[in-house]
Amino acid sequence: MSAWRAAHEALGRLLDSAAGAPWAREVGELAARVRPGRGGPDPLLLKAFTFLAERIPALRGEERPWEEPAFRLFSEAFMLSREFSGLLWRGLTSVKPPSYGAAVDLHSGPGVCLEVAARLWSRLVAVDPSEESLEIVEERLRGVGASSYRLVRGDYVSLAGLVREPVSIVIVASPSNWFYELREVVGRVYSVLEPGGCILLLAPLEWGEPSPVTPFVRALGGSSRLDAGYVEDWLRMEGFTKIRVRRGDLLTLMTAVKP
Amino acid sequence: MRVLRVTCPACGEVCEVQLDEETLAAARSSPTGLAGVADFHGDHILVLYIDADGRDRGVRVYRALQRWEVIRVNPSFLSYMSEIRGFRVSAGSVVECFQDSPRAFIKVVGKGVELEAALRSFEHASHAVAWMEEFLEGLRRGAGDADLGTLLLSILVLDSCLPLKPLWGAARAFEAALRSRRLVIRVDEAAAELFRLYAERITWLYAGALDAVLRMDGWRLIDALVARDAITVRERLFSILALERRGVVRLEVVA
Repeated sequence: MSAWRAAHEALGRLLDSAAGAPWAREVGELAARVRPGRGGPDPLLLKAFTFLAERIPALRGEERPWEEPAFRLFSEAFMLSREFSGLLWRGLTSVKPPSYGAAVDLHSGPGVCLEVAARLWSRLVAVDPSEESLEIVEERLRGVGASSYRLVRGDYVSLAGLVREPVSIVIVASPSNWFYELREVVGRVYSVLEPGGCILLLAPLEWGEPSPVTPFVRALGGSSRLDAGYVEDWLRMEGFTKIRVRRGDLLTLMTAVKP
Repeated sequence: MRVLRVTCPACGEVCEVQLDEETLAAARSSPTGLAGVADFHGDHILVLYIDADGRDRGVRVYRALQRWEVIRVNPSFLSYMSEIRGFRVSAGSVVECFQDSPRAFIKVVGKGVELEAALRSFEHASHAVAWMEEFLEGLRRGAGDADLGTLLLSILVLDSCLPLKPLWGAARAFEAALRSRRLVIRVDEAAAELFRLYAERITWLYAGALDAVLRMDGWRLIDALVARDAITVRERLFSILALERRGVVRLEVVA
């Protein structure tokens, strides 16, 4: 089942929804350059991207689309997909950050990453600007029996002031991150990590060709396209070492260590 | 203690209203010479008026709470609760329910609203204060749309929450319960279809919540919540709010 194919198949619906919008041309041009991919589409992701495509005109009109219930629903479905959860688990189990610190999920959205991290870390912190997203995070963490967690309303700009405990790992993965400039996020993350701490990035990065997710991100008014090479450079320039990259079908996992 | 049997003119239910010395004293000290004893009937409240001798002086069915009114709720209401053995809520009007004279209260005060509660045990007292503060915040936001029925419903929810660790944003749950007569459940079918595809991976949601809530399209929230057991009310409310956060349902305000 292909995650790429699922996103690609939903592009048709996105173009229908975009018809007549001022941003339709840009999205159309991006979509036309995306290759279809191989294999059958992942049914959950196909449904999730189709749902997002239908809701994008309404979401685009909102000041904070990432705080809208429809975007939260999409995010939860996206993060529970095989592609996302498989890469996330590989990433979390491959890093060896200091065990005493907390795992921070930055712009956590519905908190799926912390649900997985709860199996490996005892101290968990969710940071998100949306109160309702944090309610879902709490629902999720209680559901899996996590007891030592903190929910913090905010974003990467205020991260250093909000997170006071030692931080072992910062996860930057939920689709809420599509709305933030990753380069600036990486800098703030570096400043809160303990020495030996890790950053885990999971995003639809591009490898010399447009990702089928990029037209969705642009249609939502999200940040500019994410080139995997640039992201790697940003991590290095910030001071991160031991950068590891793993490519999935649709998403790319990057982990790096603060020396 | 005396017991009067009355028939509710709204639903026909025959109920037993307990009269204690404090109620009779309240009637004696009232300018009208009457005291009201309220009995919780889910979506409405029966109020029996008695005089200082404990005689039945008429009944009325209320949906809305009159400002500055003092209502004593029939102590039988306390039998629906496991943690709270008496309470007094002041938010313009005063609603109180006590079986006896408790020795110790927890009192939380905030921005024109007050809640006093006598607990059966102080085992959960630290949680109780946090929950009561959330309740008051919900009351402050939702008091304008609340009535006696929804106030008592939200007290039931509070009671069932007290043993639990306080929840982020619990005020929103209390606000929804307090405004539940004015909120209608609207199901978003497309969102529900997507949620169904992965709902089984969210194992902690109240079993069957989605199907149950989908059948409630067009229901007033209060009708979806009413149950004579506090835990069921809480589970229904939290399930509906879990789906609301995801956009599977919307709570539409109606007149």
